[in-house]
Amino acid sequence: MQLYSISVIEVFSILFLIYGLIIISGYIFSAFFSIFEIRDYKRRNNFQDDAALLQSANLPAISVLAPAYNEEANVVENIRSLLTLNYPSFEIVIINDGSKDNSLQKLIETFELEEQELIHYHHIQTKKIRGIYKSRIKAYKNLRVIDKENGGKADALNTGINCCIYDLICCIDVDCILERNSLLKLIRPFLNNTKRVIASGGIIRVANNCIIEDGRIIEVRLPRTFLGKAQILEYFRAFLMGRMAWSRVDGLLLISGAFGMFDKQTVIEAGGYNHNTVGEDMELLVRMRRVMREQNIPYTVGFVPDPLCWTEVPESIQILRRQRNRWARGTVETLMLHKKMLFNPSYGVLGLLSTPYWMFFEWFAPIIEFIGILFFIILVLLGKVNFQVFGIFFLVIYTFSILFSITAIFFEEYSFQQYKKPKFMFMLILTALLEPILYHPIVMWAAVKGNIDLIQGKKSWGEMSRAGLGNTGKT
Amino acid sequence: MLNPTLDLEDWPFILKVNLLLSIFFLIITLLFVGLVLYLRIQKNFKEAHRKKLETKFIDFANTFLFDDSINKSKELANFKFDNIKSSYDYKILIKQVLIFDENLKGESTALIKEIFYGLGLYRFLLKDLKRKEWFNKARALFAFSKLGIAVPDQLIMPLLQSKRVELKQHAILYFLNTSKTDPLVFLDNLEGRLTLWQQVLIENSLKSFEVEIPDFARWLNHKEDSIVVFCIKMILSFNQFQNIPFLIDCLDHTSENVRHQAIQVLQAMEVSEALQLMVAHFPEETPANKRSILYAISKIGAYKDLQTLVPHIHKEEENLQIDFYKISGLFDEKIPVKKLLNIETISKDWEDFQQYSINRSIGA
Repeated sequence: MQLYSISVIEVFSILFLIYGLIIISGYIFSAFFSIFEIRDYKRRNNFQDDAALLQSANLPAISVLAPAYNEEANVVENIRSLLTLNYPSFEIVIINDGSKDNSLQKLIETFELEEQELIHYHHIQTKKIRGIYKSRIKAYKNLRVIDKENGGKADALNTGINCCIYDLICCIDVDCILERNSLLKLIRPFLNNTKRVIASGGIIRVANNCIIEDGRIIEVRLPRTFLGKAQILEYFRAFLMGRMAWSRVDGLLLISGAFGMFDKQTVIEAGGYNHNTVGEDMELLVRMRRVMREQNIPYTVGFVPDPLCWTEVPESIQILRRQRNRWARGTVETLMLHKKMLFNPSYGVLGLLSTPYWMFFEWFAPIIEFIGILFFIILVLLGKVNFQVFGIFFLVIYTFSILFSITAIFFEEYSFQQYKKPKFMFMLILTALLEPILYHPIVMWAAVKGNIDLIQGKKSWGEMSRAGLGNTGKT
Repeated sequence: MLNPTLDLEDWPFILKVNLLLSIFFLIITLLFVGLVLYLRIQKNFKEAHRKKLETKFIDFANTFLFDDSINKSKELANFKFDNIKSSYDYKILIKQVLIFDENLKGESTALIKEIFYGLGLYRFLLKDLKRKEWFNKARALFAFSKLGIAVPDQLIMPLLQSKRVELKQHAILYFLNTSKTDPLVFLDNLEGRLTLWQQVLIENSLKSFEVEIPDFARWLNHKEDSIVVFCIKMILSFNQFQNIPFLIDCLDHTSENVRHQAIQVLQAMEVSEALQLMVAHFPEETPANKRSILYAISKIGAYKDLQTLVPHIHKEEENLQIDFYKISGLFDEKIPVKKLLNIETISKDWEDFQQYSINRSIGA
């Protein structure tokens, strides 16, 4: 029996070690690539002059598309903030996705909207449009509101694509806070590239508890709750390490739905947003890249690490679980829809690196982890756990988790240093110590549940109520 | 199972590896924590040093510029000896010199340049320019072009063909800003695509230029399409109406982008005589250019111009039909095309409209 136990432990240990080594190599790879990418980005933008851009009449105009569903509480303030973005030529297209509240009425009254003719393109099939509105007031001449039947975020964005007038579209979440120069920064990859740029994404930052005035971040602060702080670390890891590294090798598969810019023509050619998945943002970019690759058109995807977009993250466990459940389902759906790309050398980096990475590290990782925990519980119940062995395995995982988070904090410090007060850094370091034990299990379970829900055919987004940023951290 | 009383040496290999990894990760973690603290302290220290040196320089520069009683060369030497200890100091002072240069005019500019040379900033930047790293070269070029200081051409010419867009951009701006007579002469030798960002920067520089703006028709036959596109835009920006005939020739260009830009600029310049050629080209044009022609008609044409295109918009070109409907509505409120468009029947509706249009043109 002892011999049997030892062999099981050793086999399991070796498998665990191999998987762990793959994960560690992946993280080391991403850390190295992202540090070089951040360094190069800083060098590239050392002597750039945004003022020149603002003065030019030759800049491509941008359509900012913002779907809104039951956003009555904040929509007017959010639009006012959007209207003050620094960019020479842009339109704001708000798509009211069949809101059940008084969003539309509020917009009509505040901005003195009047109904326009219903002539628009039909690049992509969408739910019926009820009306298109423009303001009578000159100051709001670049605002358009589209009222349509409810069809979800993807359908709303597709409607925006059909109705907008410019060739570059910037898709945002209406409740996000954008930096004034965000469009100027996000468009840079489109302007300064010798290859065709199909999309450009930015870093999403956590706005909870920041001081906000007139729709702008005045002072960056840490969220009050542990959940919020843990998500800051998560966002550092995902954006400053993950996406920067993928950007370095041109293997980005995801541009956040909260803030991304796209070449409209390529989006249309790819078929627009897929409304049959809850991960429409990732799915769109993967499909666009796949189409370009299959047509042998040289292209690239840009990524801008400057803090440009701030969002509210969930600070209740229930809402966080719903969000992560949805993200997990979105990832699996996208990978399944594009399984042809997996390990396929004809898709280059995407086929050989990006999609396998997403499969092993984003899709399988929580499942393997969950199975590991179940296995451990069974061993405990059977009394076959040597707690000294367990302690050593736990220690290695725990120290690596902390190392990864601390590296992410280092990257933040090296790059943009948004959290100016030293106490914020110490709090983040403390959060990094607690996060693997207190936070990680929640998101791991949410991802596992997402997989279970997917098998059961669940398609909904889940209610995502937010506390609202309007009064967050106001002094 | 593992015996807790076993010595470390007797542990299974796998556990030893794990223990070693844990210790290794812990050490690296502590190292990174140290690095985070070091970065924060270093940034604060550098920031304080920068502010101090900037204040000293501002005082020094003001005295140097406006106090004629001082021995200028001695003051320069003293300032250099007392304050410039590292390359970081050079970088701070270069930025300050650029700020002063931007805000001053006339004689003061010459004095700023004297400071620039006297503090050894020129030599520092020239060294940067000769270094391998692109970002050092870019910084040097940026400063030289902002100050309008010429350096040997052979150092800059190769950078015009650099694959690094940032380096190429700074080389372009250098030639622009240091040229006395012909600011765009570098376009003759330019290879590779001129990015939109580079175009914007060139335009911006030209707008603040004191010498005569060159005739952009000179590069309308350039082998690089992006340069031709840029020149077409500039003909509009600088109102070079004498180049309209060359712009009309561009409607026959082999590049779709060049033709597209020509259509847009001719429309913006309200060259209605170009419409005939645009309409003639319509059947063979790309969808994007067909659309541009339709919109050009809406601005500088008449409904009859639009009508001539009806037979050339095919049943399957739904987006063009929508554009056509939109533009028709601008010309004539009575045209029965302003009804709610139904994508399911748009092709059928278009056939009906084509027939209606033919009947209307023959007076039926």
